[in-house]
Amino acid sequence: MPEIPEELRRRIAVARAKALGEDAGDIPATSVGDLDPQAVPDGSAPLAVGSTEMPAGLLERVKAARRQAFENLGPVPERNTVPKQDVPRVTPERIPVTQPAPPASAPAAPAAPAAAVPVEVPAEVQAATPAATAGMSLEQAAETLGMPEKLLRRSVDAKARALGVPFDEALAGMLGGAAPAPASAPATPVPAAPVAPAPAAPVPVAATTETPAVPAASTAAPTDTSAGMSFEQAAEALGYPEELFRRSVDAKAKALGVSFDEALAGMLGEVAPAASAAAVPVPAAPAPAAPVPAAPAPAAPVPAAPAPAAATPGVETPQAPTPQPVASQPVGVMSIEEAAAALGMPEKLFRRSVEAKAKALGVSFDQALADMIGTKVAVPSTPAAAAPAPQPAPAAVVPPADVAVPEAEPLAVAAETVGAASTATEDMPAQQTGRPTVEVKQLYRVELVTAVISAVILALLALAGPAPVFRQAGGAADPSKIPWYLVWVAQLFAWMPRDAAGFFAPLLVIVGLFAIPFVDKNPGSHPSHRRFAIALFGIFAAALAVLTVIGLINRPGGFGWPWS
Amino acid sequence: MTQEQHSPLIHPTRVGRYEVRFSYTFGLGGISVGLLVVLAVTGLLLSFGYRPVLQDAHMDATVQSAYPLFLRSLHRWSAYLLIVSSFLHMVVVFVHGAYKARRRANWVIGVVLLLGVVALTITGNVLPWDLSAQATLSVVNGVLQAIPLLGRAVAQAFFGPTLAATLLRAYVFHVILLPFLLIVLTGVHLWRVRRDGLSEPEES
Repeated sequence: MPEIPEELRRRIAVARAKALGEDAGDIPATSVGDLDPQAVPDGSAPLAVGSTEMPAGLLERVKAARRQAFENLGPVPERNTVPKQDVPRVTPERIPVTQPAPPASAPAAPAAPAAAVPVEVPAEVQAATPAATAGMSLEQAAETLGMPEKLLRRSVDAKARALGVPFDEALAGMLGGAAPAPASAPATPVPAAPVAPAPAAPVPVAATTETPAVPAASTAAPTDTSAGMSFEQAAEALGYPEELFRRSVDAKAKALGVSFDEALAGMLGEVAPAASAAAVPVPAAPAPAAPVPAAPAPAAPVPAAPAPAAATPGVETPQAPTPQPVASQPVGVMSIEEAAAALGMPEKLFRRSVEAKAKALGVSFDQALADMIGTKVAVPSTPAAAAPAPQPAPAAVVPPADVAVPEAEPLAVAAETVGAASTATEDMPAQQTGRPTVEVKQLYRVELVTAVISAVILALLALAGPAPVFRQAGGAADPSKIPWYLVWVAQLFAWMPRDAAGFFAPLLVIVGLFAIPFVDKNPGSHPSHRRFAIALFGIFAAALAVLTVIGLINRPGGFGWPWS
Repeated sequence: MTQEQHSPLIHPTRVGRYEVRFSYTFGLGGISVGLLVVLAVTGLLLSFGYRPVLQDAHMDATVQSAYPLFLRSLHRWSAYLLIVSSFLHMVVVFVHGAYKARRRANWVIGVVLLLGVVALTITGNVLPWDLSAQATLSVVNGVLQAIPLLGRAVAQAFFGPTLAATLLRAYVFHVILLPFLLIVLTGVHLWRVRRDGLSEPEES
């Protein structure tokens, strides 16, 4: 029990005495100058300056105690119950979706954790606890994602609560391990998978178990192995809640007048020709080779996919996984129209947005566009450099099926020139009419002059007419002291019954003002085209003014009518 | 060097030459914003010397030394001018028909702002707790009591059980609630102006 400083003890005694209604005056002041003894008994006078300072040494002690308390707390407990050592890691295939430049970031991420902790868990163990093994520990996941752990934890937590699943499962789900299992399982006949009916994604598990020594970068995501992508997969790959995504696709389908599937394909970045080439008219859109940011294409760039060759029988295994250029090039040359369409944004809006970005970053329009679509224009150099060499391990490299698809032809649209982009901005108000816009200096000049003149007038008024303050309120109300901006109401009170003056007239004014733009359907704006409206409004404004003037003149103690 | 490239946040991205003429807008919107800034600053400074308590309020508001008096006068005049300028701003906007189509919402916001300015001036006038405050409160009371059915309840809610409560409420409304509302809505108002652009004069 730390010792309470004397002064503090005294203050407590005083406070207690006050609370109990006792006389606190006889409690002796202990430290001179620390507390104004006069101030305490009735509490009316403020404490003397300096009296709130802590006695010397107390602060240090408090700080030390706080430090100690924190240390006693120990590390924040992990909510992930899976011990880190037992967890093989899975490349978060879908995570790059949210990252703008997958080629650069994706390969780097999986390498680090894999090197750190060798995978030693036998397949049986994994099968027994599918969710746990499929996922990595929260900490690792956070590291891989480059996210603060705390943030990820909260996110996973929220998801777990929302879905009503355990924390681990939610984590696995978010990392892409817990894909819609039923859909993907058949497509990926993996040793470990059959035992796992749970969301644990078969492919990643297989990858990690079969080839423990290899950096477990499994690109053989469910999305890749199947020819198409189911709606659920798409939603998950994009990281949207399914319901939201469904509504979004639905809305788009309705807006474009196409079927749901087509809309989905469009949103995933499939352009029409590619969609037809895929020859899979199944709801599942052919997996996105697709340019658009939303597309799970980023999964592709992760090149080292050391899955057993048997796992993906249907897919060829080319020597070098060079998916990136394929995936990114179309993006680079994507025209703004297509990008806008793919994003489901009005083109005009999107163009403006790109322009703003270009200006902000000081880059060209094309570059900004490419940037916004999720790929740098100067893509070719990065992937080659950054991509880790494909593992020479026994596992054949599984090329991400979607990317290897040849029909994902680059969208052969010439990139827009900057000039073209700038002409496109001419649909903005001032230019629409072909009218000249002002130079910024001119605008500033007008504003500056106005501001200075106003300020001078204001200062002069304040000096010439100091704010009046009358004697303290009390006694009968003096109508002559009603402020001028309320005089019109007061005048209404003088002339009308209370309800009309106090309620209906102000209500009419307020509602009328609000209603003006909704009542006035006249499209013209020149005063000569709107004589009636202006006359009406003029009557209103004049009525206010006249009421005010009459009220000011007529109020008691005022001027009175000159003729009365 | 066009306007577009250097537009600071409160300006529309493009401003036509016709719209910027002083005689078109009389700068009333800008003047109102400027007055609002003056009011915020002087109000903040005034609040250091004012206690919203019955026995102190009047005394605090009648300090006659030069600095507080000047601050009060500035604040008072700015408020009066703001009422005038924002009302005239509304008139100008009306005359130019600049409240149509996409600018509808901004007109509505503007009306709310005007009402907010009046409400701020009313509550502000209560704070010195002088005869004018009393007269103001009597008018407000009349208006509130005139509301059918709910009048008494609304008036009681606004005035509170005691005079001290009335003063304190007026104070809270004046320094916290209404300024917050006004500043936020002014931001929205300006943002809409920037987004919608200035209304162009139509050739007849």
